[in-house]
Amino acid sequence: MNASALLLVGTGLLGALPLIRGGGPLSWRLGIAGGVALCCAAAWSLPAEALTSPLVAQLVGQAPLVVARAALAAGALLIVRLTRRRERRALVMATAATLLLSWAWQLGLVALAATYAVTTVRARRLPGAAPLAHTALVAAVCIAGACWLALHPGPPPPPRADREVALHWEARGNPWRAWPAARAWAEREPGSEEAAALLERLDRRLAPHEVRR
Amino acid sequence: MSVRAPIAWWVAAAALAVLVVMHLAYLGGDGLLYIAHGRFMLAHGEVPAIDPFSEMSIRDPLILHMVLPMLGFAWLEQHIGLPGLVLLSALVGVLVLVVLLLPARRSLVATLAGAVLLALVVLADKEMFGVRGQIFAYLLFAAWLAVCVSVLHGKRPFLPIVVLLPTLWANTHPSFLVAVALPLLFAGALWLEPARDRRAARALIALSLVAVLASFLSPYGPRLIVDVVQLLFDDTTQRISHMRSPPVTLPWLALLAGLCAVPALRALGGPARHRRLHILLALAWIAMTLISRRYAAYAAAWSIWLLADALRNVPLTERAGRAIVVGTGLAFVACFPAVPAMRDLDRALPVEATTVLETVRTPPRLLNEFGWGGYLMYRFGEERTVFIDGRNNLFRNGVFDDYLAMTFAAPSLDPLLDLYGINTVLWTSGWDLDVALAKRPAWRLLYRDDKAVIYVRR
Repeated sequence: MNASALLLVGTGLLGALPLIRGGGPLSWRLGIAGGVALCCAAAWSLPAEALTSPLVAQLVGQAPLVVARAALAAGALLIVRLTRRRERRALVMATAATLLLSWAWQLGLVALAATYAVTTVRARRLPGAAPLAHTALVAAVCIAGACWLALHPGPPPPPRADREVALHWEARGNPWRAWPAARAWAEREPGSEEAAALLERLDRRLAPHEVRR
Repeated sequence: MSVRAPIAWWVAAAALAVLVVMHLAYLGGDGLLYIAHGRFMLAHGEVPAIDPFSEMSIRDPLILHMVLPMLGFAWLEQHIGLPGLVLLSALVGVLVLVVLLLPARRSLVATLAGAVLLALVVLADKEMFGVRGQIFAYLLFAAWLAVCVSVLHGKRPFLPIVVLLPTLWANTHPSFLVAVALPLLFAGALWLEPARDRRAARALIALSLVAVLASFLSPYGPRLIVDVVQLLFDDTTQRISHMRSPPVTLPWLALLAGLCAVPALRALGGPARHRRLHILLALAWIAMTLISRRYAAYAAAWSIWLLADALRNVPLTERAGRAIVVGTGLAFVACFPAVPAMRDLDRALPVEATTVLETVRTPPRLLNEFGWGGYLMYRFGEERTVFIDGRNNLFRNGVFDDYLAMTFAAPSLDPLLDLYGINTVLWTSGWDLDVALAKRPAWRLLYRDDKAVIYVRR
């Protein structure tokens, strides 16, 4: 199951709940929470390589995707903030979040953009609508957060020692991957009883026809 | 109105039966995997403690998620043969569709719309209507949904049924988590309703707890539910096609999701009682369907409930009734050309190539395709092990990732073939690995037909 998609649905529904419940300050706070969570989900749903490649390549290659998803998240937030006819808007938003979560995410973007455009135009005529600058500020924060989450490459993992690699793969139940590292460890530390014991364990686990020394 | 609802219901049910029997039925590696496990259990009189079919799988204690269908399919295969088992499974598939359509039986429109939804389910997820535990899970879901709805309406369900259904489900398919989640979803959605409509929430939570406890009644006790939750969130599960967001090439699913949204939209203007619950559950099921097509039947089932509830007393003019009947008939006719011919049961399986593997003494450590693992287990039994098969979570030890790298003939192909000591490869003709091995002097082509190739290391 696609966990990021699940999170998207969850947050979409989370955003919809306060509208259905009846709005008020609670809905505003939940709306922010939902929007931020949507941004995190959007960043999370990017392919893993997008998070580890260099920043410049990210900006060139992934920018449209990141911006589109961040805009989607911000759009969801704006809809939560601006809507008046709550149930219908909530339904549209949740449906759009649903469409977002897979191959149809572009459709979700279109749906949200259209809803947002209509809602914004209508909201100007509604008493008590949020100031546009205020909402835009929150949206900008969300977009910036999503971009940071998506683009931040994170520290490179430190190179792991043979011992660590061998024990890792043994613990995961893969003696084939553990064996080369264990052998390298045993060759570097000939007197190591731990390495010898590990090699012996791995040899026992490997099939008789593939004993490797 | 010249067409009465019960008659329409029977006509729609019959049309669905024709649709499923036309599929007659899907037999893939996973169904054969069930039979291989069932044979083991019948032969040894116990569940396997450690996986006996692949030496690459993780060596943790094996927890089978489908003990009852495994035993049942193996027993039936022994007594009525594989074609008989396939036919029987297709008939169970028909029963599933009929049961899912039952709530709509009092409304002509709901019946016809429900039949279209279920036809789309079959088209979008046809593999599930073959020899698989999923069909029994659908049946149990229909019954459990009825229990949840009755509790929602303040009725007290028959306790033995409440215990029996999740117990059977837990021993049938890992989707029994739905039995736990569904009442909780109902209870959660009730929170959105006015206080006077929330009385059933406690009973629904109790229903969920009963489902958890009932799932302990399996050979594995509480470990089963822990293992299934791990399976659900396992990295390998998220990477197999059935549990990923479906591709664009599945128009049936997109259409199904869209149609399922119609009753939810209709509920917006419906009676106030449980309206929010109806909408939210419909959206949740549609979302799940878009995550994985395995939830399509659940979304359709809920939409049929909504349709039946909303359209119970909607009068129709005779002209509208005829238009609906004709439209539904045309929709069914349009569906049939899209149904692939499934009468040739083993058309996708490497039957001849496996016979070659059995008769020619090829060196050990066979690399096989993921989808064929179950078939090889069925053919080899305990005589020979496979590299990988449909039980993806057993290969979370890195073997699944390495298998994928080899599948696409990644640059790491040669080191991986050496690392795992692979000496024989059974693969699909024309796929990347076939092309890559054909160019390598270290590998010799032993056999080729239009489905499969066999390479052995020189």
